[in-house]
Amino acid sequence: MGKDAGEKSPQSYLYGTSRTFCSEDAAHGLCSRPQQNNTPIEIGSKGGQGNQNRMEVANGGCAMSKLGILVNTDKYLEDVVGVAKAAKAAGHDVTIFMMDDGTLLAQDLRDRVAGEAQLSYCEHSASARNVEDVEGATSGSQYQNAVMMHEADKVVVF
Amino acid sequence: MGDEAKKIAVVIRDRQDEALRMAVGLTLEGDEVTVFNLGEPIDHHGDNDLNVETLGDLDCGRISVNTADEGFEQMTMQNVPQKLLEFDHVVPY
Repeated sequence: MGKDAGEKSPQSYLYGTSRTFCSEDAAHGLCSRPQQNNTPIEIGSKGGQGNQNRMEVANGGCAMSKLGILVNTDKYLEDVVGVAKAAKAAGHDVTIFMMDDGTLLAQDLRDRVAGEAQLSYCEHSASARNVEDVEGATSGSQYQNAVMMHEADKVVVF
Repeated sequence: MGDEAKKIAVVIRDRQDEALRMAVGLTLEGDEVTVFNLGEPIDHHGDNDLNVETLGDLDCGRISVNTADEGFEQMTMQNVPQKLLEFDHVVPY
C-alpha cells in the first residue's frame, strides 16, 4: 500500500498533532520528551508502580522500552502504523498482536511495519474472517497476547 | 525484564465474548487479570458462562457495575477509575 495523503509521519506522532505519542501525557509513559542531544545517557531511577522497567536518563530522554500494541478493530490502520514507526524511531521495541477484527489488518501491517515491529495474530479470529496465513507474522493464539502484555512496559489498544 | 506478574484490567463494553476470551488467555503468563464489565450485563450464551467460571477458578477479579452479573463484585461507575489506577495495563474492549 502506498503512502497516502492522510498518512502521518512518525515525527507527527512523536511531537505533535492530535494524537501525540511521546508527550508530557503520563498515560503514554514510554518517553517523556525527545532526546536533546547525543551525549551519553545515564541510567537514573526506575519508574514507579506499574512502570518498573522504564529508566529515566539524563537530558530528559529515556532508555529503550517495550511497547505492546493490541489491535482488535480494523478502524485505525494509519494510527497503528504511525505509532509503531514513531516508537521504533525513538528506539523502543514494538510488538503488535492482532485479534478479532484487527486480524483484517494483518497483511497491511505486515507490509508496512514488519521491519519495525514483531507481528502476531490470533489464528482463531483470523480463520473466522477468512484471513489467509500472513508470511512474516506469527499465526498464534492468545498466548502471544499474554506474552506481549507480560513483557510490555506500556500497551496501547486500537 | 518482565518476570514479575503484571496487573491487567480488561474493561468489557460491547464485545463481551471476545473480551472474556482474551481475559482468560491473558492469564497464561501468570499475570493477575481482573475484568470490569461496564456495559450490559454479561450475556449467558456461547462461551461466556464458561469463561466467567474459568476466571473465577483462576482467582481473577470480576467486577461489574451491573447488579445482574452474578458472581461479580459490584462497583459503582464512580469508583471504577480509582480502582483502575491499581493496574499496570488497562485493556478496553
